[in-house]
Amino acid sequence: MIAIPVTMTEPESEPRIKPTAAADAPKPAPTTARVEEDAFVQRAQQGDLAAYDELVRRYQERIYATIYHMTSNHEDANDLAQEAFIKAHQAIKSFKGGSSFYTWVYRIAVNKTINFLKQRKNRSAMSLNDLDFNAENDPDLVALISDKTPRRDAALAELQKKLNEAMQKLSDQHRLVVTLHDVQGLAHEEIAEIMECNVGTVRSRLFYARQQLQGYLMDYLK
Amino acid sequence: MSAENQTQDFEKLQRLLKLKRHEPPPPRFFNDFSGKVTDRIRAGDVGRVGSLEDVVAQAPWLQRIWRVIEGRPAISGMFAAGVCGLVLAGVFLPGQVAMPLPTIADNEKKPEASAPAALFANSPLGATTLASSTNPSVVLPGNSLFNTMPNIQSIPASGLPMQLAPK
Repeated sequence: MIAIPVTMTEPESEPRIKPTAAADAPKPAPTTARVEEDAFVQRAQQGDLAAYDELVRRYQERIYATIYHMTSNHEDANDLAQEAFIKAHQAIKSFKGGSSFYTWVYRIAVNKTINFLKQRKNRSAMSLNDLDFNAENDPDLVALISDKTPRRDAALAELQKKLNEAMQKLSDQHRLVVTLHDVQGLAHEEIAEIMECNVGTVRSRLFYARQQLQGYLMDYLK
Repeated sequence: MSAENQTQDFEKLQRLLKLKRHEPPPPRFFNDFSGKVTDRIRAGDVGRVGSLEDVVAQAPWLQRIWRVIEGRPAISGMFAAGVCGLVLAGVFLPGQVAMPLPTIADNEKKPEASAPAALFANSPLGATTLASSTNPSVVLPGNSLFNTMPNIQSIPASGLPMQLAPK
């Protein structure tokens, strides 16, 4: 008896994935969260403010955090985050769904923040949020300070100040890449989409920014 | 510094950057954040007055133009020159169109003498031509300043003194 081999072929409708070209990769099937988000966006586009309120709730923490890490100032971050969401609501009818709503809002917030920082140039007062309790128990952070001082909270507060000062010395674009990748954990591809540049640019900016930070914080990285 | 050391340092740096994740806003900050946003939207708040770049950020086609211009000094220079040219054309063209253009008939009216001063003193048309600003004004003969000046003598083009006819 001859067994007829069954060959599994890819359906023609699905393009082949090229591992080196992220831009050519097919879009993944929309997740439940994405479908839900699209529904909220549609309702918000029709003027449903409750739906927009839900969208704000979903992304408020991430948008606030990005702006906060860019400005190192809580009050500015609060104002800019609110304004970014207001701006997004004004422009929501022009949102065509080419990217996720999240990326789109992010782009608005980032543009707004960079414009704000350009105007702020001379005012660099920091208004830092207090570190949360978990910081003292984070093994990575404890490893950085434990052998230097017995007072972890004071050492961490000093480290926080130095780190923010070093961040503020970076250019806006470099600070943004470090914030999005190393602090918020976004993928290079997502960052490229937000910053509207290619992945290579993101990588090179990230490398250069890290090199600079490393120089500024040399004493704390020994 | 070797690449290995650099990578190791980046690891330490990344560990240090984790500290930024432990900087939350004050407690209950997010409880009413979305409420504040929707309140401002209901109140018709449009936020701070947008800068040019804010306006550009809202319009994708403007964004594309801005991106092309921003990184290339030659293109931005050409664009600026083009805008300046358009502005200058806008300012000066309407003035030129309003000015009466000389016609053949006008040329025929001119006498043989080529001294411009003498011509213009006698002819209202000449006075108009002399006033070559963007706001031409026609000076009527009766109101001309030349009429109020006594003993004006015309000098012919030859430069010789004019001989008066015997009485």
